[in-house]
Amino acid sequence: MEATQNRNIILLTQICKRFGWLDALQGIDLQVKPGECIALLGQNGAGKTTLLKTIAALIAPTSGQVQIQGQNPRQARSAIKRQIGFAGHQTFLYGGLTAEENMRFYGRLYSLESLPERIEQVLQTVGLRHRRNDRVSTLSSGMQQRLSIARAILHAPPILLLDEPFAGLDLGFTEKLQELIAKLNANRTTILLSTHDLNLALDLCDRLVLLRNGQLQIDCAPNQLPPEQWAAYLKGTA
Amino acid sequence: MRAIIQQMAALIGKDLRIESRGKDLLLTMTMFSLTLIVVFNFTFDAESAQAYLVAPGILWAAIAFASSTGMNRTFNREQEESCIQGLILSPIDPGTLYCAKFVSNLIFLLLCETIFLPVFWVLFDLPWRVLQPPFWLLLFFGSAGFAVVGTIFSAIAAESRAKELMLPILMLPILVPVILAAINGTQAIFESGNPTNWQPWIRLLVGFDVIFFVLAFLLYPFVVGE
Repeated sequence: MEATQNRNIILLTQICKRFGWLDALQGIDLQVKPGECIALLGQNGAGKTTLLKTIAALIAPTSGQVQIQGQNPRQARSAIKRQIGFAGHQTFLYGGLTAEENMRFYGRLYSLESLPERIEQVLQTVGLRHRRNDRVSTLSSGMQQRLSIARAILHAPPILLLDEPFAGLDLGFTEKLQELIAKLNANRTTILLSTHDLNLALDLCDRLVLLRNGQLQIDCAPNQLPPEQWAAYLKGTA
Repeated sequence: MRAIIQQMAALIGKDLRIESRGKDLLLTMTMFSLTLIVVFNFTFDAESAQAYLVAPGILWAAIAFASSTGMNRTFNREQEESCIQGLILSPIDPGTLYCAKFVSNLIFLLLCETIFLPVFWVLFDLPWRVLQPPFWLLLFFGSAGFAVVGTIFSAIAAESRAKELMLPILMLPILVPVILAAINGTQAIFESGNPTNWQPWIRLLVGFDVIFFVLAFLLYPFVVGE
């Protein structure tokens, strides 16, 4: 049992989360190995965001256990937090600061070395180098989303949690982001992403996890089910 | 330790930078205080002995209003785009976050005071001789009391539905000892330079600040936890 736990970079055991009368997550068990790329699929309200936030320790589960590299992220201090990068629906960026200032701020919270070079690198990656001195409030929502991804990868985390990262992005950057995810995954970054785009998930990920009404319905490799069946599950007709 | 100092500097620097661009916080705090001072100045004759007696009360009422207005805003900034979650995700200790927010709030309050204090002094025709170290000490520790309590309660109030209303309701009852000590201490300084009159009030303020700082530092992780 212990050997199994050590092999899992993320281990969720019977995770339940209740918001008032709503059971957002109901007994989720999930094991993630280092370097895996997993897509969380499901209709709106299936529990994808709640699950990602629970893994990131932004939400405390009502019951069950989350382990990141064998430790509870809500109890473990900075060492575990440095392992996780999270980009969600909100950008976590300050509108009154420029793109570069936001990156510098977060970089200093993570005590990153060679920060100017790293900022240059991530801004280049998300194609915002030319807007580095513009305040975030003046950027379009798609650009803010890109900058949010830059913030999430700034400290080069081994675990990357992306909540609908393709939402609001133009076609050009959607392709770039796919390349970036593939590149990070090739470098052994463990990636969990939620998406409604089945084709993207089938192309990018090693495993697809389908949630329905807070329960884990399917957890398998993309090729284990035909795409039509995946689509039927996503539409709720299967 | 170096990392903690770096994190604190980053948090305080971020607050100051945002404020230096918008100036909305300082402007609101100062306008609120100045309005109050001007209204009371019209109510009480500045040349009468009565004005001399009520001036300390008006001064600390202005500071109380300024602090409750300002501290609401500083934490609300963290709620925009859920920036507070970005801070929770980062490897920063909640205690460090509290210290940084406390310092930022204290700086904003002291800046606001430096703007309205000369106006207050001139309008109430107060003696300039009292602007000595005891008065500055009292002003500093009194303001620190507001910042210590306001910093933690602004985080609690930000989670409630009636954000703006909730902070003064939560904060002001706890601050009664600070307000009373500050008013009595200021009156003692105005009336005589005798340290035996004002020293106990400053000691009370320092005691309050230390106790509530430790309490807030320990409780902050539960406030910003989820």
